[in-house]
Amino acid sequence: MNNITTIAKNTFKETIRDRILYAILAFAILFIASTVVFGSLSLGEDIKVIKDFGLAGIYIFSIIITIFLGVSLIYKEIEKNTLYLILSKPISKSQLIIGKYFGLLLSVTLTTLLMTAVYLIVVATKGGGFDAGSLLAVLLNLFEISIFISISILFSTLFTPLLGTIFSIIILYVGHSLDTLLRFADKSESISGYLVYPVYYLLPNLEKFNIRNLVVHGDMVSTPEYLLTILYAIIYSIILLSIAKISLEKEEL
Amino acid sequence: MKILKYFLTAVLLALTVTIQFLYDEEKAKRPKPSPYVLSAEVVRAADLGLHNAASDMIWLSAIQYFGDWQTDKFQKIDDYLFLASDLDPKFSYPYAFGVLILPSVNMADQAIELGEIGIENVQDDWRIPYYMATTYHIHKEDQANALKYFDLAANTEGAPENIKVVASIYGSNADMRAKSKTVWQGVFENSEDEVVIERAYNYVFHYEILELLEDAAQKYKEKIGGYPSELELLVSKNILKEIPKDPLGFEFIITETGRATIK
Repeated sequence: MNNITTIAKNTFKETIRDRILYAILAFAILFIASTVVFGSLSLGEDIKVIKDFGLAGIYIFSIIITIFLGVSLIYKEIEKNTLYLILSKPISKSQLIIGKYFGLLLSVTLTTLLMTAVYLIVVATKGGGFDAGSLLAVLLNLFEISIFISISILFSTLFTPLLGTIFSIIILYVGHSLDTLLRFADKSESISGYLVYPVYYLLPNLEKFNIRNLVVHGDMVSTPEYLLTILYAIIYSIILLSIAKISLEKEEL
Repeated sequence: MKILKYFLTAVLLALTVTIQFLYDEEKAKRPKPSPYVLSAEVVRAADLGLHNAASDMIWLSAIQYFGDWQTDKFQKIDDYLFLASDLDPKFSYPYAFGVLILPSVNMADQAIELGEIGIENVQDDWRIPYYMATTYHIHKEDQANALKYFDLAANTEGAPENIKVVASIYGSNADMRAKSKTVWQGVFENSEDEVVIERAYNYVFHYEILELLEDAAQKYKEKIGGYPSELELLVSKNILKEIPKDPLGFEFIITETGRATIK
């Protein structure tokens, strides 16, 4: 447990010092603050537009931060040979991966919370009051991020950062399109329709984490639906991190 | 040497600004192409589930499109509004705006179709049925449907008190013009949107001009013995100082029976 905490702390320090993080974060905060301008152009629908764009901004920028920082997390250690140094100590590969996961999760959570704070201030300033519903949306956003951190870590054991980034973006799009794919499969009577089912169930279904479109209108999913979504994220992350560990074991060190 | 470098940089920057300005001037002369509005399926496939934000973007584009003069005579405005409401079915304002604005660009049927979808998806916005009623009343001359939607608007939670009054007097007023004026007076007094307020004001002013012209024509008859064959006669015979300019852009005539109407 101590080893995991130490690696998580180091990963957190390492990622929080990354200049890319600050550049993206500055841009994100600027974007969220500028939603006021979009709102003012909307003929009296300011609050709705600010909420929609604000929550979209928090999501997009937290994903960008995760991908940029995550895809090079293990790859960098292998390239710089620092992985030897870490593994020469009484630290297992599992501990290394779990430590990296929690370290990055902490960094992304902190930056996401910072963006959320700016969002809440902007909404409150424009007369929207305290947007409690958005907090539930941001929480699910973080659980989606946790899956994405696992994907990034897995890809960083397999591919270069560039390839990892490309594959992560593909997973992101596919993950949000699985419901549409399933609808097509349900309508299709050919064999290709049946091939969609394994893809639908095996790939990460990310659309379930998206309650942004609901909370803006004051709607909400049921509690079991919410809890099942969280459970899905936890189990999916465990599976991906286990595969990352197997992948790292196959790495010639 | 250093000063020369700074000077050259400043000159180059000034040149870039000038070229951009000249380019924009030239571009403005080019006729604007009619925009291509994507289908809801395509936008949904590409927006990472951020349908509301995509809907807002479409809504902002619709406002920009409608707020500027277009060579295509606003033929894409309905596509924009249907797309915005398809992506975010609970976003009420595009429905209300569409029902109010589309008839003015000869799209009364599209306005009614959009309004019906809106009433199904958003139950708490009185503006959608209210504007549906005005569309039925003014553009379709369908008083039965107008009454139905006035009633729906009046019974929507949060509807202002004077909307309820308008809805209740609508069926008992015999004069169509008076009814229309009442309707737009209601819009004028209850809307918070500048575009809608301006539109309602223009309609009320339009009906007041018609009333003024009819009064003047009556005075003309009493003075001369018949209704004027041209509006200018009302000015030349010192009954009116000038013929008021219609804010909706119409020209008027006086009929043989003394009624003022659109030319």
